[in-house]
Amino acid sequence: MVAFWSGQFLPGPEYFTTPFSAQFQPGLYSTRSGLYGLALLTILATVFYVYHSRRRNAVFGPYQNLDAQNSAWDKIRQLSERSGVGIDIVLHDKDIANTDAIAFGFRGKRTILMGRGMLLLALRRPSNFLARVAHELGHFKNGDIKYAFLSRSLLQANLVLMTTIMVWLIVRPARVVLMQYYLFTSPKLGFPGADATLFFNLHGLRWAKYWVDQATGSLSITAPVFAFWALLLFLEYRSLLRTREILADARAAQWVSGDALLEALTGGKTPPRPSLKNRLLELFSAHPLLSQRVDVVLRPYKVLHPSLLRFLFLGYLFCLANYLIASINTLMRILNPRYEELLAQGNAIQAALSVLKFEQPLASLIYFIVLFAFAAVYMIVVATLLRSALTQKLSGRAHWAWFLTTIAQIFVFAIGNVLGDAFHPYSQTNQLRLARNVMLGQSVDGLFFNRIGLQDILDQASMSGILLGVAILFWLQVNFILRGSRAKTIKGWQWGALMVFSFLAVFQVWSAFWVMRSFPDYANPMLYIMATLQATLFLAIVLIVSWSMRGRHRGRDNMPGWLMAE
Amino acid sequence: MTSPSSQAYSILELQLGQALVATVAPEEIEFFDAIAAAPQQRSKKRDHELGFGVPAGEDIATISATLLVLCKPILNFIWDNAKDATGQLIKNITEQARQVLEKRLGDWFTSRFQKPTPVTIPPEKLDELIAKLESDAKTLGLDETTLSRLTTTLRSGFQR
Repeated sequence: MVAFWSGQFLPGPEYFTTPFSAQFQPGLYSTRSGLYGLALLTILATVFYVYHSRRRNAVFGPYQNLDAQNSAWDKIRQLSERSGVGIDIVLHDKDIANTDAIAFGFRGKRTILMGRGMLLLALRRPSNFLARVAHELGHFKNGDIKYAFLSRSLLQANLVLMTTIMVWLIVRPARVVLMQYYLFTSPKLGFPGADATLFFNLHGLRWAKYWVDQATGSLSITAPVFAFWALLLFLEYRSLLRTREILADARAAQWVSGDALLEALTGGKTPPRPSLKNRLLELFSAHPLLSQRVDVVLRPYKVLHPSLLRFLFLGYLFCLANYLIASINTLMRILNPRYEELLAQGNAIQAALSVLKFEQPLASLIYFIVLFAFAAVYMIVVATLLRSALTQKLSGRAHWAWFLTTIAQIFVFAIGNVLGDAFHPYSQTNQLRLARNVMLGQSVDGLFFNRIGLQDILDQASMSGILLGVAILFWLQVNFILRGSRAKTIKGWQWGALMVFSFLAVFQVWSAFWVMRSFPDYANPMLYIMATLQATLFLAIVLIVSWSMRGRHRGRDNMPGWLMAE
Repeated sequence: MTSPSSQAYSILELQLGQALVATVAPEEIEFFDAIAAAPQQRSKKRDHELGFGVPAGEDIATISATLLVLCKPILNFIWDNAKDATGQLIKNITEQARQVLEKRLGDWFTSRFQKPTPVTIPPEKLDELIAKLESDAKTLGLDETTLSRLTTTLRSGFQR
């Protein structure tokens, strides 16, 4: 999102002040416009986020508060106490056939909105009712309200901005046309008072054609990019929701038993095997396939299992992050004149120091945001590999089976990354090239697709090698940790430390090889000694963290006590 | 859910249904109007963010819905076999008398069968009605306990 809006698409002030000299297409030259774009995005998303509850109340239609004397309230209250999740408001609609329930609202106004059918369900099938309520409480417990609605707010903010820009791209050339008539007519309330005769006398049809050409040209470049970006965001948003649903199921199964949840999910029937159509439609759905939900209730460790599709998506996301980091240098040159000056003098270290010293605070801030975004994407990939190792070990996979699966995952990730090279309509340079082609009346092919060569494919080798190295370390760690007797939940920071230092250990080794290969003149014994020492240090930290996660004694069960612990 | 007939219920059916639900399954009486108003509605799949996402399906099985279905055969049986206070079969009475009787039947249902019955059904015919109801109720999936309460209610009501 940062990559998308920072310096792209938003019309800058020059479009309003000097429309004839402004760039045809908003792009990299509008970096400052991009900054206010990010600010607008943040403000819009915050507003949508804060006010999400207002519209959620009526999502089922007319609603009312559940009578405090209703026996369903007592059941909810008891479950709420048992699970330690407070509920402040319970609403229900008027539809007797609606047995769904949704959760929303922040602490102090946590709300469950139910269909009226849920009240009937509470009487006829109390365990089914409780399983559904427990699922909603699970959403609160897992923090899904903030994750889901923050994502939704960002998506909504993006859509609003995109729509605004599309309207702007249509209005901009119309304004130029209207200016012609303004000179010849008396404006009324600020509007030109042109009539049909004047319109035709002053070459109105030609001006109309000018407007159509301008608007079509702008939209033909921008609209497909926006559509693609909106789809990408929407799919990722839905994917996040599906993950949270599975986690909420896992939590609910703890509180009301797996059997009760299964009964609520299936009604005692075997869920149908999903068809290809079901699987495709699932990509747009807020809920996973029923068969998958049932599978996770029966085998809770599968909550963490990442699909190959996830790796494909991550590969694509990683490619996007790479483009982001690739254009940061240009961005810094525009924002920070001193940075450009130092680079022109060939003083890259001083240029980097100027960023670190926050000599131009705004530029440095953006630099670190972009750097953080890139690191975050990389760590998401690493975390997914760890999840995969963990679930494979828990499901009793043999070493060779794990190895083949991991190779497949990294392969699919690399495919995603190459696909990103071939198909990235968010590329700034690509946008500028297309804008230039439109202006010169040249072909606008390559709007979505770019040529990729053998080198693009070979470039995946080093990244895949690093990921495989990290995955091997994870497999060793997971084998070690899961044999432990630990009962307490493993903290998030412990998992984080394990991931970061495992990655750094492998990356350190790879860096030494990279220097040796790319800059043989710099290679010297001290470099290798330092690289070895650092890699050893990182490995030692990994070992200590693994040891603390494992517990002192060797355990007997395959399923550790901490896995689904509170 | 056991789905009631798609056609709209007559006033008399609704009065009888309400009386039966109030007696046989009083916990459902607050939902009676909603169930009667939307007889064909099935719980549909919804895909709201952070919702449960799976409908309860047919297994919500309300007693009210089943009882509403049974109202029509009960009333038909009454019209075919019951006699009025004069001992005349009510299927043979005039339209005007029928309207009066309908009102009295409605009052009787509204009283939850507490008032004296405005019609009489011979014991053998009542047994026949109960047997038919038991058969229909089993087909509709009504459980034994509820069925027993239903037959007891009808027997005591018609013998009052």
